[in-house]
Amino acid sequence: MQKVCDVLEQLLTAGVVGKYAIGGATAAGFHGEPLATRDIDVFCFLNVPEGSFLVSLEPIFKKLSELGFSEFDEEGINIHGMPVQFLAASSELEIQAVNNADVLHWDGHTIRVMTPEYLAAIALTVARPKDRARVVYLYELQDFQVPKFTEILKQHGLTETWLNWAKSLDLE
Amino acid sequence: MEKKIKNQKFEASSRSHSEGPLWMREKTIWRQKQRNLPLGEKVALLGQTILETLELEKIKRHAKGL
Repeated sequence: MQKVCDVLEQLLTAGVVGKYAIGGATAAGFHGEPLATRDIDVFCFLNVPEGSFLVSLEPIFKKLSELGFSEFDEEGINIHGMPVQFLAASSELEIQAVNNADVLHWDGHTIRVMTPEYLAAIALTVARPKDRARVVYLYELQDFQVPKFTEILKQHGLTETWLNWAKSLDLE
Repeated sequence: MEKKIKNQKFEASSRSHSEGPLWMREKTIWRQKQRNLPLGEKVALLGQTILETLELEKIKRHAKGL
């Protein structure tokens, strides 16, 4: 995983991605306990080529291929044995989550990971059964900042959705 | 022997009722430990979880004959 973080930083340094942050179950697990997941979701800002309207992951795959990673594992590309799924941060919420991600350093390595409050808000918008479980898990974390979460919900018009979820999930 | 095991189970169950469910207490202790892990170890643990999940899926697929 440390090696994956290093590769992601290489993509950033090379300018292939504008900014990025790990999201999904890996990020949720980072803030509490590891959760079963089969890939690493990386939300990133991609540079759109001039004159193009399409956002393409091609530059990422090209750079990764140069670095020796070209094997795909279902939806993810295999980096040091781990499937990594690159997703273009597209909604305002995802963009804000990437911009406000925690950036942490250790022994010369860096990890950029979405905060629990943004992860919970994104889970609200995705709304699969596993996202309900994730919201409960994140909301119950000791470090979960309810005022920050409330503000995010307000900004993105998710307050009503949250109130319904909170009621049904007994989180009020 | 069987009775002894039953008694042990009963004692464990009584203890857990008096101090909250066992799994919840263990989970809380685990979470506290996890929070206090150095960052490098925490990241390594996340990686290990992914590899174990993949391995588990492989075993499941194999068992289903896929």
